[in-house]
Amino acid sequence: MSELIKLENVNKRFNGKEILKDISFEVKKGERFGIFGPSGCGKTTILRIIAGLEKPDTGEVFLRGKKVSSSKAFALPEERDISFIFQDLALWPHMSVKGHLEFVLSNWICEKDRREKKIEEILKAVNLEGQANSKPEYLSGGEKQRLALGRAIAQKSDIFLLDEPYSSFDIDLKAEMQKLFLSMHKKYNLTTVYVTHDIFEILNFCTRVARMENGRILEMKKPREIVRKYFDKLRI
Amino acid sequence: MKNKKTIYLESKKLFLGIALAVAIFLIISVFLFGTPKEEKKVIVYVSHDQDISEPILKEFEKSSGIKVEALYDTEATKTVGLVNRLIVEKSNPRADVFWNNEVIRSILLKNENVLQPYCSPNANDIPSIYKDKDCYWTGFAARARVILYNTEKISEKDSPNSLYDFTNPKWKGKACISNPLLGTGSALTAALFASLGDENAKEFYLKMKDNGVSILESPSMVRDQVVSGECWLGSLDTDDAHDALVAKKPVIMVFPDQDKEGMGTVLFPNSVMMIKGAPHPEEAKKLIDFILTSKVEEQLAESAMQIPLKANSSVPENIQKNIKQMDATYEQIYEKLNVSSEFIQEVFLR
Amino acid sequence: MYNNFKYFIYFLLLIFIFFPIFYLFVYALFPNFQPANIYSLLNYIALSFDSGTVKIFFETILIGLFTSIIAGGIGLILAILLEYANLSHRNFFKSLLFIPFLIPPYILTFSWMGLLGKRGTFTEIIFQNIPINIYNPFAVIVFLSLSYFPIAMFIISLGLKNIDSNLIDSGRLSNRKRVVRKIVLQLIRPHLLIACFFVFVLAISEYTVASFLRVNVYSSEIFAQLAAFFDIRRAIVFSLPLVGLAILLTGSIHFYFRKKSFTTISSSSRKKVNFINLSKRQKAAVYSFILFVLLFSLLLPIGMLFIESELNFFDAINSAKIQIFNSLLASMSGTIVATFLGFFTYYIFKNSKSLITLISFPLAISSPVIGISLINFYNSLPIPIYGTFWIIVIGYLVRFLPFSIFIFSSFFPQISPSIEESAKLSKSSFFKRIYKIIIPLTKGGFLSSFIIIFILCFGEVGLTQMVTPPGFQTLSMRIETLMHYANYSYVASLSLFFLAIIFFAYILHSWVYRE
Repeated sequence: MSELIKLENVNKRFNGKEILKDISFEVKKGERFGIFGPSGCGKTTILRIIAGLEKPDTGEVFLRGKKVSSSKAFALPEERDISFIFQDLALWPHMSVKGHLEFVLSNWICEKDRREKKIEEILKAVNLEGQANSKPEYLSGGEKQRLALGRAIAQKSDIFLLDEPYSSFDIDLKAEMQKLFLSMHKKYNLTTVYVTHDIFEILNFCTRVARMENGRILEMKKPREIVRKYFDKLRI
Repeated sequence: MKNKKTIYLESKKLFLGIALAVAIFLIISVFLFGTPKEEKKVIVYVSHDQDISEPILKEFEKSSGIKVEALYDTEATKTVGLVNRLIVEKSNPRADVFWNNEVIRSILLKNENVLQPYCSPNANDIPSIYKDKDCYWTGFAARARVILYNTEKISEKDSPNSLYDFTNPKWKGKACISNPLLGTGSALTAALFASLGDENAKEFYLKMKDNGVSILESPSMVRDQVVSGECWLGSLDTDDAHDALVAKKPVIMVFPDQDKEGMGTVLFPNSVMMIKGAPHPEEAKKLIDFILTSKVEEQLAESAMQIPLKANSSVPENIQKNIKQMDATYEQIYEKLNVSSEFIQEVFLR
Repeated sequence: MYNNFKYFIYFLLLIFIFFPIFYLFVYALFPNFQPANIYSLLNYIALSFDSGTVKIFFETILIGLFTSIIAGGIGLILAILLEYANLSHRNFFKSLLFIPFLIPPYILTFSWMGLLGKRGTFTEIIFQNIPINIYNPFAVIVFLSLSYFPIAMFIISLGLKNIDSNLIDSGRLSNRKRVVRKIVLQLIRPHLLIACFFVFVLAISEYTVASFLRVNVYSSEIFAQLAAFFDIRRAIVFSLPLVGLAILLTGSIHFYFRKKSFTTISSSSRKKVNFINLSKRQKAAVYSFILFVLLFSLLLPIGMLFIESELNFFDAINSAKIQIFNSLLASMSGTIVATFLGFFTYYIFKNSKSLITLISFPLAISSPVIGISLINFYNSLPIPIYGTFWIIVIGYLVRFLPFSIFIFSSFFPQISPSIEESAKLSKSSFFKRIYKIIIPLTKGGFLSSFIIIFILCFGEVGLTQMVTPPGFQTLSMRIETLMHYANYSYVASLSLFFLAIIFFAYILHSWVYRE
């Protein structure tokens, strides 16, 4: 089994409006799969369905070969072993950087010494060693992102879902964060689903892209093939 | 700016503090209010003033060795709480004895099948009009409805001496009565309906209303307003008036309608009774016997100007003897309770 | 685990809240449990409400409405000024302005009667013996507003504290003059509505002030059914309109909030922002307004209490040591139970609007009726609850749980859902999420619930009197009894002591909650 994530004919409606129509795709192990499309086309909803934060109306979701969502079965988010970086990062305002990692690590590392060591390792990996006791309100935008990434890594999951994580960043910061994430991706052998509406991001990061519009996947190709048709639009 | 560590520690402290508080209080509660130990005790519900009744109950406790657990009414819920409670509890009674500060609700409780008869030997010298013929309740130490007036506002020659003075235009807007729907106020209303007849009583109340009489929540409030001069005269009970007299306030107490043509006033004895299915029946009987002694009546006469009814009790000098009473039995007054209360609520108070 | 806990909470609510009251309503409306002919029951209900009763009902609603508008308005103005204006000693004013809520309304009214009654001090000195008529519904509205505006101010302040400063800063940059109206007021709408709702419910169920001022209110009618007629059935029937009204109001509030977003707690900065820059003259006007409110709601009544007390504090406290301890014990226990159950009830059932609505109906039922329903239910159970201290705690739970739920309902919408979702995804257990994430973020709700519920429990008389076991008396019951004996010195001394305890608790709350 090489596909870690599989969606089959997933449909979803909100308040009578069709958000997702017949969504089917697979993500292989180690892939960086992008979902690209304009705002409101349903990209975030797909991520939430994979994570178990929403239930599909019809269709099935498989993770690591096991069915996790269907009309008869539904695995809770905490049972799916998925890391998710939210668009608003969802950092806990009352917890320090170290507190965030401690919270996650305490679920699978019981010994305090081992936990401390792991915290140090993650802080080093995301370059937040000097901010261990700081709360989110005192971090810069980039530092918050790194904390969200560090927290996701601490979960020890092999599946990462990223929901437009760098949408508010400048180019330099974006490049820095992408470079960091790529190195984490390789280091921890991750499989990523990456949602964005930025063509440069999918070009730089993704190995395969699904282009969405109005709740449907129109095509699935390599990034260059997807973005080619936009070059003309962008030319002034 | 506060140190980040301090904020974190404070939150933690708060949580621990709360958890500790919970634990301590639970432990104390269980310790204090756990399953009661078996001991000789009697549970008494008391509608009489706590400051006056409590010393009597403590004396019983001391002399008999029987622990008394008493539940008192507050002024706000006078008789509402205890009488309703006794009615609702009747399927599984908790109280042994009820010490009521009047008689009418005792008759109500008898009719609601809340009481059981007990003929105390200490009741033999109490006139039969003050006790139930089947021994369901026994009256003692009575209060009377009186008029209290402020001597700075009213001279002696103008002094009121009848309830009809409350309809006199010269006292328009200057008189107070206690709520005729509650407590002894309602008992007086029912008594007037019983002795004057429905129509005459209604006419009397309507005239009082036209005369701008103020309706206060309790006889004690009437006393306070007469003492302060906000009301010039008020209708209340002897024990409330007594407090003002003892404090030497500028007031005089008058027993109304005592002349030959007068309708008389109404006496409200205290009453004591045994609850049906009382958990401690023998202790209940001992308490009832104790309450019906001359000693208790004399104590109540001294502390609250309550009129002894027992032939063997001595009557203090400050208590009027041979008070002319209204021509109605307590059972007749009880019969009029509902119709008089309905009139008061629907016509008089609105 | 979550599902098991949910059913456990459900069970607690059923057994402690719904069933006793439901049991009494069924028992009273359908005697002997025989479903009576529905027409005769409807007929009975229709006959119970004469035109006078209906008129009093609507007058009481108006009193409640005006009180909530005035108290809500005063609370809102004070909350915004003390949170965002460039005033000095704001925390000091906030603490002082909260104190009037600690004074039971009837004590406040009593002190005002001493000032404005026919022989009142003000009447004699200022008004040259021309009496002011305070025995009317307008005075009831004024005194209740003076008593209850602090709770409105308190709830709204907590909402203001949690607003992300970015949201205000972005408004300041685009249109400074409309920040309060278009941003702040919109974001604290839940708090404002909840505050007004609380005041409304407190006002319509409070009858001691009205009785002091000789005004007929609807709660007095219910009380009369028990006091004068011992007609429990009719008292239940009279309670039905209030129950219907409470369900309607709470349902409307939840319906109104169901799709609105009030999320303001996220990872962003929470630094306080003073954006209302007052000139010297404006500051003087604001200070005068604050002083005016303090004078009439606090300084004058407390002054009267001090005068009446004759400084008899030690004797008074000594005479009521046991009652003070009992009150603290009962209030603390009731507060802790009601707060935690309120928190879990809202957290678990926040998406179930009908359940939340149903939980709110005890709000509208008068204390004596709740007392009777508890006696009726627990007296027949073989377990030792009735006749023990725990029946009082259950009584407080029934009476005040809706307040706790509503307090949390104004805090939870401010937390972004993704904050809890990210905790779920990290595979933490349900209780760990609650303890580490949700409770710290709703700390304000806990503190508010603790202080408000504690005050309400401490001053509660009607229900306590109905269910208290023999030998157990609380401080508020003792104060009421002393008022009857005209022992005003002790009444005033104990009232001041009562205020001191609660004020201390409030200071503790402010210190912990301070940023």
